[in-house]
Amino acid sequence: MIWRKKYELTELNDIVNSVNIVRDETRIAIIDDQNIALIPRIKKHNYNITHFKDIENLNDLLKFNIIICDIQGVGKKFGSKYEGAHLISEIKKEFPLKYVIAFSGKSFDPTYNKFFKICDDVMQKGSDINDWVDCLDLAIKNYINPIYNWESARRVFLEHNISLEEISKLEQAFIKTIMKNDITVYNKILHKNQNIYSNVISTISGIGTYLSFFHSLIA
Amino acid sequence: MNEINQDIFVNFFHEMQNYINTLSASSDSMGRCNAESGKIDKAGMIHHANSIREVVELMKFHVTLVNIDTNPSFFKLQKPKTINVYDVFKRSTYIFKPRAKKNKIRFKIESEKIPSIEIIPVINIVPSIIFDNCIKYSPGDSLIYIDIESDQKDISVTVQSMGPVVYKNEIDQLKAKGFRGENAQEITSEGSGVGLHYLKTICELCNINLTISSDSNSYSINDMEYSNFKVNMVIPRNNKT
Repeated sequence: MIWRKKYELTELNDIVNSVNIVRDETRIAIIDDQNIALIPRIKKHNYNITHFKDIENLNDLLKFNIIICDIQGVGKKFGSKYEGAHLISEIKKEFPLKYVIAFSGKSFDPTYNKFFKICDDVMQKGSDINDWVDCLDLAIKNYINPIYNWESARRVFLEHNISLEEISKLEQAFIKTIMKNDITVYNKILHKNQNIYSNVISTISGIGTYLSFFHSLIA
Repeated sequence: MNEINQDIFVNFFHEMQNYINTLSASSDSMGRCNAESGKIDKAGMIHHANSIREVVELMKFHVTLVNIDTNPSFFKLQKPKTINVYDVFKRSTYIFKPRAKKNKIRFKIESEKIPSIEIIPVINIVPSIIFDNCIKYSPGDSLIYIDIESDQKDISVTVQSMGPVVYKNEIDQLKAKGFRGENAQEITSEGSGVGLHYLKTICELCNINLTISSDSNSYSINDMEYSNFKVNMVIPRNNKT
């Protein structure tokens, strides 16, 4: 019988701790129809940030790691009365592992809480430069953290009734990919199990994108 | 949107109108810094810019209060951030300094080196609520004393100021929305008895243990009995907000 080593997520802690916060290597998109006066100052803090007044389709966001989205006045092309809030839920469906921050002047309105809940964080309009730096540094720290990402992915898998056995296999491949710094480990398991993962393909591909990003950080 | 208490918005608009007046006066004065002498009065500009910054902070404070009233759950959805409680209080003393100065009230802050903790950012407005209350009720020529300590488990913040005597049977009710002590009503018609209610709500959101007390020893100024009013907050260092 061949005994395979079982990896634990906590084994990634040392690798996580060795990676610095990389402000300029993490791509941030802000979607807001209004001008944000602080953007030049935020950029001076070395954040790699792009401001969109609105987006035409979700693919506009492909290359970004962190997305900050206004609740109102954007997502017009998507045709929902919830505008930016609807856009956020579409972003999370298409890119479950992108770190999404709701940027809102509607925080007083509880009807939007269901949209705030699916975000990784929420930020009020009128935030000052310190709030922005705290929020963005935490976003980058979480985005580059494999444990944070795996836990987000696992929640999606459970919601889509992927069996615990399959989740465990994916988890082992995820950890091993990072520990060996070899993306082919993850790709191999995908090729073997394509049919099983068809319902969660956006999450599976999100993990792949994340692993490539992480690989580039520690390479 | 859910039904919202009309009083909240009446109060909010009243405050906003005051702030708009102040902003308008500051921007007008800034314009004159430039125009009157033909030269830029740098010190004057800095002074007005600072007063605009203070007003903006106070506007944010009131917006957050409305938020707490209408949608407290929102703050639970924010991710905890690394925050230093000393910095939060120190910053707020700067914002309230001009208003305190008008009433001849001074701030004194004593603190050992306090570790930063992970906590939801709504804690940032806690000092504003307390200082707003202290300034409203303290007699002139008095002190707002802030003491911050830390041990392995908790950070303790105590704010003391002189205020109208609060009777024993009133202490527990101070955190109830709309309640104002008998002597507080005598001193000023300002205030709607919501400050300590907001403080209680924020402390609950942040897992902070809040205790409010008023000394039984009192002294008289202009026929009003004053005593030491104390707000103590114990904030767990390992906060699970």
